[in-house]
Amino acid sequence: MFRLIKFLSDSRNVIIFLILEGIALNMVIRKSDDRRTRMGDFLMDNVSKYQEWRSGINRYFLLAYENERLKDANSRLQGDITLLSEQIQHYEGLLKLDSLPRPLVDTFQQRKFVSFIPCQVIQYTTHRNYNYITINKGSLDGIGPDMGVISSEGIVGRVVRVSERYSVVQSALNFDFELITKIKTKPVSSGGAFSPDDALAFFEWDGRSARFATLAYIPETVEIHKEDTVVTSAFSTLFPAGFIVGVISDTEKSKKDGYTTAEIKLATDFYNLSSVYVINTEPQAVLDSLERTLPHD
Amino acid sequence: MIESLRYLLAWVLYILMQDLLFNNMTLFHAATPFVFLLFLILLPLNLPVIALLGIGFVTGLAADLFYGVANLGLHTAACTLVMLFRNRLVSIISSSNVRNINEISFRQQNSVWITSLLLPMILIHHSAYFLLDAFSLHDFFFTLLKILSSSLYTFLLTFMLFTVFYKR
Repeated sequence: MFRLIKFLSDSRNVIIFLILEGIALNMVIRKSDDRRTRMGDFLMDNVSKYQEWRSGINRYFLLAYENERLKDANSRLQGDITLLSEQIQHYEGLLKLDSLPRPLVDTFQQRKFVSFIPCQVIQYTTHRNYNYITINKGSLDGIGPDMGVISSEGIVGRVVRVSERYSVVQSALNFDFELITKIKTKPVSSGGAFSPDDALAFFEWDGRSARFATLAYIPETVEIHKEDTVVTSAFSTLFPAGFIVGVISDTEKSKKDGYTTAEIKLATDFYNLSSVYVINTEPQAVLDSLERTLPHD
Repeated sequence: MIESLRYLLAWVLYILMQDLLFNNMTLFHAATPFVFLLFLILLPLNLPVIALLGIGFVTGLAADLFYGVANLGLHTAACTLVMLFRNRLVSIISSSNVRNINEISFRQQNSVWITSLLLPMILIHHSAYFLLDAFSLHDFFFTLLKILSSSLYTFLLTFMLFTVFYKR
């Protein structure tokens, strides 16, 4: 017994070290676990409050730059709106002739349920392998887990954790982020329809740069070119189809087992994140809850 | 009493500087300086290892929290680890005629002594930090590049800070 006490007091430092290190490693492994605890929410709210105050100072210096970017995005959207309203008028003309089947009209109208919640980024990292972003709106503003996040330039990430006033977003620059994307095999002007042989590809980030990511599992039969646009596909439950992800910058990073891996330049500037939008797709939420009720095997 | 207040003030300053300045100074997507380590390395030498471990844990946690609550623990684990070796390292690099490390003053040491204290401590911390961040040996050479370049970056900055503010 005496020996045991002596051993414990000799190795006291090591035991304390092991306990503290164990706590720390437990935090590392759990990462963005969305099990909400009162302690976790308390920390998140208070840390985010500080971050919001700090980003307020930073934002002040970036206002001019942000203004330019929003102007660019606005002019692009104006172009899209003009094009789309022309298309709508065209379809309305067809509707009057009653030549379009009814179900198709209904699908068009369902699209109205997508809404965008404007948010401000208050903290982000780019140098880690698992990067996260904090935004200044939470469940009170209608944000929930597994909603997609975009900026005015392209996709940003996925909401993983929500408190009442703040949310944590898993950045696209994160080893855990995955997305099925679609390559538009030739540059198409905005609003153009997909050609039938658009290829699907798997988006992943390799941790090398905040400006580039890789596209894996492109079938070798698909011809891809530099400057081909990569957009979100209808197979993703995060984003509606057609949001820009980036453009292909290197067509043949590697070729293996009948698949090509390409490099893409990300559309979003992850070094200067400021205004982002959370996508709230109501029909998708219904679909997700339906999927959850299905038995998993 | 005044001494501990001074350390508390320095702690707040180091953590704030890390968050407001050094975290934004990443070079080439590989090298990030973690200058707040200098605070941990220069903690008083008469502190017992248990106190060092506690301070390391709290400092690491504070540094982690500034990245948001989603990915805690990297700095916490690395700083706790590095504090386990501090006193041992000081006694190893000090000349053999020093009987008690309490007698050593950081201010009176030459640059070689400080370098041989700073470099191993920084390397231990950065290795732990970036290996935990990668959490696999996949793309190991890029992780190694991150460790070495960040260590060099941190070393240059901490050495400059030490020469300017700590040396007599």
